[in-house]
Amino acid sequence: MTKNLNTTNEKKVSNVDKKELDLTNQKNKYKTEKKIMLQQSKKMSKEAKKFAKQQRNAESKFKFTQMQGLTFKLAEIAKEQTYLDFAWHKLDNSALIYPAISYENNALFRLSVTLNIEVDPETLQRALNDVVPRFPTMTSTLRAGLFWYYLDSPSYPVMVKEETELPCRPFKMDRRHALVRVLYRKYEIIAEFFHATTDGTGGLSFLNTLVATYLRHCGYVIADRTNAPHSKDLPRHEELIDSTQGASNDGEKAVEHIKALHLIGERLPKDYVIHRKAICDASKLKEASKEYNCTISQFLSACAVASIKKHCDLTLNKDKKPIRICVPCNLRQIFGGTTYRNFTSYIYATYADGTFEELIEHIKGDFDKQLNKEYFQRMINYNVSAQKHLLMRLAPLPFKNIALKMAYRMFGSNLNTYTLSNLGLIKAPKEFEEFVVRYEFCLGEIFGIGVSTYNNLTAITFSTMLKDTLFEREFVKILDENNIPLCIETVYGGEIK
Amino acid sequence: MKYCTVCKVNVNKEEENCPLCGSFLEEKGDKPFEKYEEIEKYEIYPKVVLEEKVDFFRSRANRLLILIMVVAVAIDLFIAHTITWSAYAMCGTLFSLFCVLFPITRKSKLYNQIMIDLIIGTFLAVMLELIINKFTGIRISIKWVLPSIYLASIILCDIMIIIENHNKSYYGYFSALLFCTVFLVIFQVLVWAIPSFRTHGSLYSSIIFFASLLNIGVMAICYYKQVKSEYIRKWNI
Repeated sequence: MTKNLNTTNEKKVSNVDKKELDLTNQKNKYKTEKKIMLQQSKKMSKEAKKFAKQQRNAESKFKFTQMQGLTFKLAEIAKEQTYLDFAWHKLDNSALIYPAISYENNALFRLSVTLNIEVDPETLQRALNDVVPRFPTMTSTLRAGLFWYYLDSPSYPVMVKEETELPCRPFKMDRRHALVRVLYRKYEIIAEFFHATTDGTGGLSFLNTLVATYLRHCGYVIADRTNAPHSKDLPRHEELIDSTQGASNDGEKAVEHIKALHLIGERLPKDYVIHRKAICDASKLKEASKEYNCTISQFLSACAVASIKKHCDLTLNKDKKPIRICVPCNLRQIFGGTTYRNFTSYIYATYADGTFEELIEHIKGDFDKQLNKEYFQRMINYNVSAQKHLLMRLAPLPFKNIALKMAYRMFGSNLNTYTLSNLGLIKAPKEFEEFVVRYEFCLGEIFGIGVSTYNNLTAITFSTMLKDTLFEREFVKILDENNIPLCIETVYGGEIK
Repeated sequence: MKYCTVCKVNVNKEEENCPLCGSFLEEKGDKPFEKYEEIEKYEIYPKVVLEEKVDFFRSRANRLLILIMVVAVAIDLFIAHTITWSAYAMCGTLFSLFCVLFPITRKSKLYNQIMIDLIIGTFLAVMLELIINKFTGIRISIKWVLPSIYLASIILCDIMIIIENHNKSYYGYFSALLFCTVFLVIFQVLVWAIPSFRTHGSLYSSIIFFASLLNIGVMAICYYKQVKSEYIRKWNI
C-alpha cells in the first residue's frame, strides 16, 4: 500500500514538476519570442527610421538645390534693380515712434492678393524691379542720424521670396535691407511693410502697382490705373511729403490718455503672432450691419468688444480698466492729400453693459463723438507740437529712443485692448476682376484685426499672441448668430517646439 | 470645404482639425458658402511649426564668458587677495565679448566696430595698466599704447575710404575717421592740460595728433561734396 501510495505520490510530484517545467518552458519561450520580436521591431524601426531619414534628406537636398537655383536666378534679376540716387527722406510724424518700439511691437502690416493664375517668381522679380523706383519711401531702409532716424536707399536690392515662415515676422533693422518684404505662394502675392514707411493706403497702392506690373509682364493689358499708378511714372512730390505737418495748425491740441484693459492668457514665444482668418460674405455682412443701422466698422467693433468681454469672463480677468478698441482712420478722406507716407489717426470704441443692440448704439455714439475734423485736428496738433519741441529736437537719438519707448509704454500700448483696422472696399483697376480672387489685410500687432473687402468677400484676419482662441471663437459665434456665412483659415500648424 | 460641428463654422478643406477649437472636422456641413467654394482651390497654405530657436553665440556664449571672468576674479581674490593674473583674463574676456562676439552676432558694420573698438581699447589699456601698477598711475598707455591704437584706427579708416570710394558705405568710414580724430584730439588736449599726464607725453603722440588733423583736412577737401550731402542727413534736426 505504502509502495503504491509512494508511487502515486511520485507520479503526482512528477506531474506537478512536468507542469511547472512546461510552464517555465513556455515562459522562456515567450520571453525569447518577445526578445526576438523586440529585436526585430527595433531593427525594423531603425531601418524604417533610416529609410525615412534618407528620404527626408534626399527630399530636402532636392528642394534645397531647387531653391538655390531659383534664388540665384532671382538674385541675378534683382541686380538690375535701380534706386533714385541720393534720395533720402525724413520720417513722417506718425512714423517717428515705430523705430524705437520695433523690438517691443511688430510695427508692420501685410497685404496680399490671391490670383487665379499661378505666380511665376522670376516674372514677379522683374515686376518688382520696375516698381521699386516708383515708391522710393516704401522701398527704403532706416538709418540713424545724430538726432532722428531717416529713410535712405538700401545697399541690397529688394528680392521676392517664397513664403515659408509665419506672417509678419519682424524686420531686420540693419540698413542693408529695405523695409518691405515681397513674398509669394502658389496663387498669392504678398507684401509686408514696416509701418515707418507707409500706412495701409500707401501699401495698397504699392501692391496694386506690383500686381498690375506683374500682369503686364505676363502679357495681359492693364489699362485702368485706379489706385495703381504705372510703374514707369516718376514719383510725385505730393506722394512723398509728410501731410501731417501740413495739416497741423496753432489751434487746440489734446489727446486722451485712458488706460485700457489687457487680455490675459498663455503667450506664444517672443515676436510670434498667429493669424487666423474668417472669410465671409460681404453682402450678408452689410445686410447684418444695416439691420443694426450702423456701418461695417461699427458692427465689427461691437463684435470685437463683446468677444473681449466674453474672453475676460471666461479667463477670470479681474482688470477693471475699460475695454477700448483702437480704430485707425484714413486722414486723406478728411484733410485731403495723396501722400504715400503715414497719414492716419485713431478713434476708440469702448464697452458698455447691455444687449448687443445697446452695445452697437454705444459704439455708434463713440464714433460720432470722435469721427470729425476737430478731433483729428487736435490730435495732429498735439503730435506735431511734441515733435517740434526744442528739447525733443535737440536731444540725441539714443535719448530720444529711451523717451519714445517710455512714452509708448505709458500712452501707446496701454491705451487700447485691440486694434481693428478696416481698409474697406478695395479700390483696384477694373481688369483685376478677371485675375484677383481676393485681398487680405493683416496687422503685425500682438492683438489686432485687419479687414478688407473685394469681390464680395470680406477677409477678417485676427492676429494674436495668445495660445487660446476664445476671442476668435466668440467673434465668429456672433457673426454666425447674425447669419453671415463664413469660412475659417489658418497658416499655423499648431505645434510649438 | 469642411465643417466644424462644435464651432458651427465652415473650415478650409486643407485643415484636419478646427483652427479655433481643435475638433476633428466633418466633410460636409449644413451651412453652404458657395462663393468660398468657388475660390477654395486657390487657398494653399504652407504648414508652419513654431520653433523657438536659442542662438548659442547670442545668449549662452556671452553668459559663459562673463561667468569665467567672475570666477577668475573670485579665485584670484580668494588666493592672492588682489587682482593680478585675473586682470588679464578680465581684459581678454571683455575684449572678446565687445570686439569679437557682439560684432559677429549682430553683424556690425566695420566702421561702427572701429568706433566701438576705439572706446573699448582705450578703456582696457588704461584699466590693465592701472591694475598692473596697483593704481599708482599710467605711463606706457599715454606714451605708446593709446596713440598707437588711434593711429591704427585712423589709418584703417583712410584705407577703407579709398577702397570703398564707389560704394555707399564710405560715408560710414568718414564718420568713423571723424570720430577717431576727435577722440585723439581730446586725448592730446588732456595730455597737455593735466600736469601728471604731461610728464608722460611723448613726441610720438604729438606727431600723431598733428598728422591726424592734416589727414582729416585733406580727406574733407577731397570728398567735400559727398560728405556734405551725408552730413545734411545725419545732422538733420
